[in-house]
Amino acid sequence: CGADLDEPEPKAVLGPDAVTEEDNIDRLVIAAYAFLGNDHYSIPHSFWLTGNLRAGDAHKGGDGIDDVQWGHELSVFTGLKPDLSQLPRDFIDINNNQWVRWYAAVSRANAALSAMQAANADEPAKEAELRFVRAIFYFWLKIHYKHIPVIPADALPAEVAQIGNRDMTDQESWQFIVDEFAFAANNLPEVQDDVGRANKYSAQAFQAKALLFKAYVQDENHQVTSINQNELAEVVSLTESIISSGEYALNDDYANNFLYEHENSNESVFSIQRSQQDGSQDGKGAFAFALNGPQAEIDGFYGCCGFHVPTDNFVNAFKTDATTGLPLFDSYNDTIYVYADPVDPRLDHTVAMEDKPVKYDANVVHGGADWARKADQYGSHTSIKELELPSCNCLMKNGNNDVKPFTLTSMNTPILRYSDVLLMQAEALIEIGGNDNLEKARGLINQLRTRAKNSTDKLTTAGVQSNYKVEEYSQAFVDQDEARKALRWERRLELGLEGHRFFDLVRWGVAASWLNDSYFPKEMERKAYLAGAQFTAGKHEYLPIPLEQIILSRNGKEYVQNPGY
Amino acid sequence: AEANEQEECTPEQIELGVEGCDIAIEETIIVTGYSTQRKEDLTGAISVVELGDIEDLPAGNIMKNLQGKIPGLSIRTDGNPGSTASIRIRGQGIGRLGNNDPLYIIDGIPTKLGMHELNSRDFASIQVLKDASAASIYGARSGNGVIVITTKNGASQDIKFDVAYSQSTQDFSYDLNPLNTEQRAQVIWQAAVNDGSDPNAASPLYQYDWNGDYSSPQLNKIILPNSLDQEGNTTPAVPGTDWFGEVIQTSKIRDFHVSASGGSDRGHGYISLGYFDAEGVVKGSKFERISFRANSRYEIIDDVFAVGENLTVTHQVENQNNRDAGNIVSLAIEQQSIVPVYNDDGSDFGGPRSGINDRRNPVSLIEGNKGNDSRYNRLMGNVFAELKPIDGLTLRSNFGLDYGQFYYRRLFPTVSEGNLYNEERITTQDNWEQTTVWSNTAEYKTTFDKKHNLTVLAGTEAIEFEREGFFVSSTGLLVEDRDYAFLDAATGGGVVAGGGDEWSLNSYFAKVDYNYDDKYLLSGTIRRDGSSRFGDNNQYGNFPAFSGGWVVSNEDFFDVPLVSTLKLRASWGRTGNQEIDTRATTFTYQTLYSTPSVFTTEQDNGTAYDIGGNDQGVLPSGFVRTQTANPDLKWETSEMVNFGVDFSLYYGTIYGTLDIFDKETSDILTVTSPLATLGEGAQQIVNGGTVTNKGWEFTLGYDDYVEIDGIGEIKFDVFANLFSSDNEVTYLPENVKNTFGGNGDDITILGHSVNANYGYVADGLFQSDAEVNEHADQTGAAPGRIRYADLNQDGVIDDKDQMFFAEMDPDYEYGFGINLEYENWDFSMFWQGIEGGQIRNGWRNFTDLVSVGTTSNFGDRVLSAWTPENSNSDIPALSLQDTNGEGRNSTFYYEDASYLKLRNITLGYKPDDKTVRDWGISNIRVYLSASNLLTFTPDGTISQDPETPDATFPVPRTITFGIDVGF
Repeated sequence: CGADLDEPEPKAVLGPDAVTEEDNIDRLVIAAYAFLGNDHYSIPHSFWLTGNLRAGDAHKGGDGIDDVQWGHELSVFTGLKPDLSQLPRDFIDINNNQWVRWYAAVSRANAALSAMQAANADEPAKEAELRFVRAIFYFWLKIHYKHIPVIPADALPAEVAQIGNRDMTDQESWQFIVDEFAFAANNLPEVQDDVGRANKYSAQAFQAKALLFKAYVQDENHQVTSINQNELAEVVSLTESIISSGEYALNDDYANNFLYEHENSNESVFSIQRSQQDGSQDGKGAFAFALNGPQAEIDGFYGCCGFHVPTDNFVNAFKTDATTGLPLFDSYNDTIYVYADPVDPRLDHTVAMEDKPVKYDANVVHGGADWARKADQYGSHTSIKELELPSCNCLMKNGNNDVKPFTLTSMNTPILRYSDVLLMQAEALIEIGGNDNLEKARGLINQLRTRAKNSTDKLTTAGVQSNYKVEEYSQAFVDQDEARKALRWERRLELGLEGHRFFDLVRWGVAASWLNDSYFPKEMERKAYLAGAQFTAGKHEYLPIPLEQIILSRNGKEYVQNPGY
Repeated sequence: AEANEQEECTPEQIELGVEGCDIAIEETIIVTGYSTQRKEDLTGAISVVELGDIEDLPAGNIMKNLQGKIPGLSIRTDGNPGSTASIRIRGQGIGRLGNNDPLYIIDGIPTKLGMHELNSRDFASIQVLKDASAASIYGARSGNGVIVITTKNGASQDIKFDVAYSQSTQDFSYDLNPLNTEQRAQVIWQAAVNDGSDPNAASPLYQYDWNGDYSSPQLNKIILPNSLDQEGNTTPAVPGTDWFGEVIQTSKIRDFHVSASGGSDRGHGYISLGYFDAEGVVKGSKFERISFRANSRYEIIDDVFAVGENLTVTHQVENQNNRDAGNIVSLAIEQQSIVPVYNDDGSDFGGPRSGINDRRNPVSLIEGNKGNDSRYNRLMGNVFAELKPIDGLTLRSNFGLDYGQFYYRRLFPTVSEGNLYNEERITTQDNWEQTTVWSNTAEYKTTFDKKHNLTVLAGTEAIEFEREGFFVSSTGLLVEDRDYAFLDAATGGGVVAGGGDEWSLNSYFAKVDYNYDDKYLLSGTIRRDGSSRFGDNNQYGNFPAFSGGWVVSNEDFFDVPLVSTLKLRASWGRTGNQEIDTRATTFTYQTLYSTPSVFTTEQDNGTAYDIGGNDQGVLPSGFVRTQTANPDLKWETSEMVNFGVDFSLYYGTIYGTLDIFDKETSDILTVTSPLATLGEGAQQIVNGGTVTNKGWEFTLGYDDYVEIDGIGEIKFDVFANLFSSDNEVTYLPENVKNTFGGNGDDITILGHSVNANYGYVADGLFQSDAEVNEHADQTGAAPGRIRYADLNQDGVIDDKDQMFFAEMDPDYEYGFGINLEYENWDFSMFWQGIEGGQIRNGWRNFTDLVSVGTTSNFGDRVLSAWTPENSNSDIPALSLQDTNGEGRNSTFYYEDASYLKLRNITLGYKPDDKTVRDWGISNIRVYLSASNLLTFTPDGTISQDPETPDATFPVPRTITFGIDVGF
């Protein structure tokens, strides 16, 4: 007996066959893109935690050390360890979550690529989109963890378990990522109907970015040993392709990069598309920044939670010389910025501070300590690129979204801007060296400074009382070192608080010296929580491989922990 | 309670639960599943619930009232008026997939649902099948034990009415003693001074006038703010809001039951109506149940062909506050006392501002839940036909239906309290589920040579389950009124969700019982179950069992006058557990448009993306794999060996039972934690893991009477039971092993109880700098801070200094009591307790630590925190920064779980029969009863009630007055 069991079909789910039909392939592509927007304040895809806190550009903020303590450990480094599951109030290993979610994203793209194979679909453009999205996650994994497993789309589970994180060398996995973007660039159209999709130029931009990282060759202890000139040249030619395409341009006003009504502008090379009132449970808004609103409530909006607080060091970096309008490279951090100081206007586009109107609205004035969650601990500055005004149509306050008091908007998140393309080219040119190249780089940097200079209308109209002064580098750089200094300073200002800085520091090989010699000693005097903070060279350039993954990998090929952990 | 007045009940009447024959059951006939047995013939471990003992208790959930009554039955409850109780029979498995609940069989219909959905006053008998030989007839669902319930039926006599009414009041008082505003300000000052930081920068709420001397600090004055918000709307509550006082209430329970039963030679029936209406001690909580029952049986051809039915319909209403009570109680300490309940103008609730953690005003939460009642209707019934074509042979066919429907329309009102603001929202959900059961049995009983008694039973059973439901959420209500707040009224966009499920079970079973001369008993059972939940490679499983008994006292050679009966029992059997997701064996893909994404533990896993940059409207979406197939999946298997002794002495006045069991559950259903690179949906449900539960149970009673000169006869029954069980995880597969804690290497949960915790060992407080220096290198160490033990003795306190500690399982569970009867009076008292084990006292975050949540309120224990002058304190020195990591999981949070509670004490009075008969009443009884009157806990524990040591619904003290009348 036993043959007559009437077995019901599974309900409310689909089997693999239905999913792999050719009609459904674009749906799998969408699912892969979706993971870009499935980020979260603990694992934002604009790296304010891992990119800004670790670079000395921002304090964690919030309600003290143990409010998302993961962020605290990123700020002081000493507490970073392979198992972070016991951090009070987190009680989960966010580092592990980050790893898990990014590999989940990789697997979505892989699932779609396998489905294409199964359906014998010959659609190189779709394949290119999938490999582009997948390569973004690999790129992120790479700059966070360095030694990562690379998983072929068609690998069976038993094979996946045998893939270690050191099967490829550092340079090999960089090459893999570069090649993936190259495949995407060669197979994607120049323009896509859907603004959220990757195109030829967004792929080239990421290819250039990956190459730029790859060019700075690191040894086992993360120290930069050489810079690959051929790859720098390739960076120049890839960025040139984007520049000469005419598809992209700097916005007239720097402000427009961070305003809802200008999203997907010509300056956006690739942005995470956010939405609201979209039938999803909590709205697919920018959860990456859910904690970053001011603590003060304004017009029924904001009210939490005061995270991502710009540091004094970062603010001071915008100070300029009253005569030349150039950065105060040596003396910038001697005194705290006061409003009478000559300053690059990009400061007021990036940081809101006491008594200044916020986001170009004379009626919304920063309330100082009232706006902060713990002003005594972290100060009261507010990072505003990710914020919108309470009057914005993009606010998620009357959706289906029971997300208050979190501050959420559907403003897109730019992750690669055209100004970054210009800066990447300038950096490559400077590292190649030669007077012509330095001059060309100066021109690129000056484009950004001129645009900055012209970006004061919105600020002054709103009544921001600042002493704006920013000028071009009017004379040729005397040498490569001076050019390098200018370039690196410009990246800090132009891309400030957009999550790039720490990875730049590691790429340049200067993270330890910057943090230990420049940033910590002074900022520690200002913020007591930094007591004991210390960056260990050869260790803290990368996060630990999560212990849980190492343990799980023991069923196959055991992962090798990063040095120092 | 009328059995004594009737002639002896026939086994059949007892089996059918004929009114008046219920009490006689334990003396003679036990319903064991598809058939009945004389108690003397039992060879398995079966306990019978003495329903008479608990009939005076409010009938919300009968399982709550059984706490401590049956050895081997561990019952955990809280004070929720509508809660299910957690029931574990003889320990538990891994329970990773969440099911360690027993199977209930109600008039032949199996269910896993909670007992609070049924009116227990209709129950005629409850049997707990504890060992595998008794339970295995229920096959793949019997692994956690089986509870068999038979409901009442009428007798073939005159019609009889019974009315019962009781009314209870419940109360509870907390003494976590949250600080008042002044005290809290002082604590923050002290903490800042201890840290060497500026107290005036510590909180925007307080300014301090102090001497500024950190070595001998002197606080002169605390200056509180004039208002809590910028607009000056809210005046601080000084000395403060008593939040516990605001959320705890004295509550009422009413329990009403009326039934009629009776019959003729041909047929008999029973109908009843029950109404149960309870509030909980947390304000706003409510549980209401109306239940009907109609049971009947009719002999179409006398003693040859009979038909019958059992039917119950219940309707129950539960308020959202029942579910939120744990949170509400927690908010009562978390929310600072400086926050007023209402703003000055009375328009809004007070709420958090800068310096006050962003938690809800619990009174606002309670008020907002007003009218948010979920409704659950359950219809459960069966129809049967019984044919006895020849003497001894019974053919029976039984068809049952269990249908439940849940409907809940919930209004989330606009929340505007302090800096918290939520828009209003309306949600509606509707789910139904149904189980149909069709079973057919043939039973043949015969006796030959006068001494050989044989019973053979064979049967088949088909079970089908279906479930469907949907959920809608929308916003934009123009008027915030529950009577208006239907989905039609919502003008905002909507979120919809829905799902369904189905599974089936197909079974064959047989049982043989043999009794030789009431001396030697043998029994064998086999069940073969096919379940749609299992993989193609393992669709069917077999569940055999054997048992034997030897009634030593019936042997001719046995001649011990002292011993009236002595029976030895032994059994072995195999049972199963199939409680997993129906779709566990298959690859599943879902569209999964979006999932919640608010908290760190839940992040959006959806597939929708605004690829077109439209910002609003329906988004394109895709599919995602949610699970990986496992075609080899099968039920988890328990094998249990049981040895038992039943005895009675002195003509049965002293009676007792001892059982020893050894249960090994293997192939436990669990879910893998796959390597991240395997990707989304790589987790599989697998058979992995073995857990053993070994233990023993003992009951002893003395049932007799004494004659006291001048007073008369006092009947008494003294009884006690004791139960002990040890849980140990003995095997886990590699890909599951490290998911229960441990160091990922040599320290795993293997060898420990599944309820063990992994963490640090808190070894008191550092008393001096010298002690800090002597100790291993511990980040954040300082005098007054917790010292963590250097378990691996490597001179550094790090994550390698953790161990498994605090096995939560008690060493013993016990109950004891006495029943007395004297003339028209009866008295009973019952105590229950557990000994050993540990609980996690989560309140310590508030009562003992300031640094873990610096913007919440604290308990008054922090006032006696460690200082150099007060170095005897076990409360760490006050600090605003948890630099020592004291929020980590450590023994600091754990304490002894032992308790002894006076569960119940009852005094009853029955007027003389004569008197009441003159009133046309056949019997009447009034009683006064009290529950949870006393609790004893060991010295040194902080938790008031180890049963609810954390933010859960507190178990109240209950006083009940009741009356039962029979006509």
